[in-house]
Amino acid sequence: MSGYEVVSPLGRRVRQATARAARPRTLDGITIGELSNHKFDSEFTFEVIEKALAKRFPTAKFVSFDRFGDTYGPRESEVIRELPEKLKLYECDVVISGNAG
Amino acid sequence: MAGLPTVTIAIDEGFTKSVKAIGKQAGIDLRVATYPGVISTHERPTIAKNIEEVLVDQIVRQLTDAPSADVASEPDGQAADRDVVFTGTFEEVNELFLRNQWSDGLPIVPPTIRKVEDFLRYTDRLPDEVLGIMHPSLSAATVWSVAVNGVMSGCRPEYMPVLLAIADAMADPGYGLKHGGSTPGWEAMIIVNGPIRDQLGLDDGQGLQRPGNQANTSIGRFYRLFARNVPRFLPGSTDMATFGQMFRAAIAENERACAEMGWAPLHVTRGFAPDESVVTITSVRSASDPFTTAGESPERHLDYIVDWVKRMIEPYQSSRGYVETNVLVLTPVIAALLARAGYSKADVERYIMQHAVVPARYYEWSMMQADHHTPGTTLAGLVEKGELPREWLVSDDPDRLVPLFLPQTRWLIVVAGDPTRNRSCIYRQNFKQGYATSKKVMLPKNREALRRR
Repeated sequence: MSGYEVVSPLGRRVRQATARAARPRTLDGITIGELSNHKFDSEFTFEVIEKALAKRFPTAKFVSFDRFGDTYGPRESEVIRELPEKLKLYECDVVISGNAG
Repeated sequence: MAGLPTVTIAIDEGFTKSVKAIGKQAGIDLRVATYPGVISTHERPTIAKNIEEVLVDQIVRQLTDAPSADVASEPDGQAADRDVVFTGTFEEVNELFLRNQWSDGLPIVPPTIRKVEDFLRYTDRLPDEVLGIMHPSLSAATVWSVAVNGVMSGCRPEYMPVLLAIADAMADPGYGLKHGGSTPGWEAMIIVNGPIRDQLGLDDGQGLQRPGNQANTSIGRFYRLFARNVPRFLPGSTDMATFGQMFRAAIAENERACAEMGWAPLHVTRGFAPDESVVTITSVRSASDPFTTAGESPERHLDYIVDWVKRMIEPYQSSRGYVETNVLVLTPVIAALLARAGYSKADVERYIMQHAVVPARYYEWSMMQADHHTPGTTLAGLVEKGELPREWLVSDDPDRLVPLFLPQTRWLIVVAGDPTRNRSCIYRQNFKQGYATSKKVMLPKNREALRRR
């Protein structure tokens, strides 16, 4: 016997690589959506992030994380399902996801 | 199709690595800005300084830098089910599986096509049937992949219907497997009910969770191997378990004891017929001490069980809106004592829910110990915002008693373990991850012929 002829234990991959979104050259005039799990002192950290970004990009606009709901809370599925529509509604150009938690 | 440019903020190198790995598995080149250090251990002045001096530069760069050359997502090298990926000795196969992170560190049974086919005989489902798509790898869990991992785990082929029921439960979105790599590092608890328990020789008695009994042990091992190989939860990348746990031997409920005391077995309490075989899986974040209760008064036992419930469960869970499906395992002697006093399983659950109350002062203090709420959050504030029901604010007396659980919380009462010991154990579920999920065990039509074999 030449040995054990074995098969792979992995699942069959079904995902496809997602193309990268083109980045803006500057955040000036850009609307930035914020997503958070509402933990890790989100209110404070996003406030500091907004101030620091606004200092460099005075015409950047922000859509607070509380507009989108808790991305990791008990209503997570609903919040995630509604996300594309809300990002469109608030005309977000880019997204900051999470606050280091 | 591309979405919006996004930057994810992670802490330190560990989280950053996990975020990148999870993105890669999903075919997305996630951009990450890394906060220096563990933000939960920093106070506001330090956080502000780190954001301004370190983080903001990264946020800007990751949102505005043009996409670099395509970063290949994890190489597929995707073999078809029956492709032989390697030929070698037992030791060589095990070395390869360790190297590829296809093994759990223990020797595996080499999954040859013949062995896999032995398992497939124990189901009428087709090998390429997709049970579900699993995160984070975004891979299809198939009947074939269940059989392969069952072989590797040291299961017997006749366990296949139970393994399929486990995988069906894992694939159920209500179970919440996609968060299975979260930092609490939970492990599944597998509870088997119905005639299949005896047919497979599953143990429900003394020492049932010790390694030793093949069915209990190898079925428990299967869960973890399957979780490594199909959704691909790997410590150091997609599995962020802070400590992690060893896989947990499956358990069977002692249904003879249940029948004697007039208690419905777990699967019947969950809506299945008594003669159906059912697997229930739930996440276990931690197990309590196997604590002792004593005396002839049922309430004396129940009150001490509730005391342990209060030690096990943190108020922040309900304060964040989490609803769990915790498990209480009673030995037959304790269950019988309660049953003789007229308590049913539903009564025990009700007793826990009614008596698991803590002083508001403690609840509020405890919910603020970690970083689950913005500083300054109060119980009154949560009630006013509608995030907690009115029961949490019947007065402003800080010593008033408030519930520990939201009313939708469920307790699964299971009878198992040494019939002569007066011990109980609580298994704390990990909020919305690994909600108790039950699936019927589907036996093949030719099972009698297979049994004779």
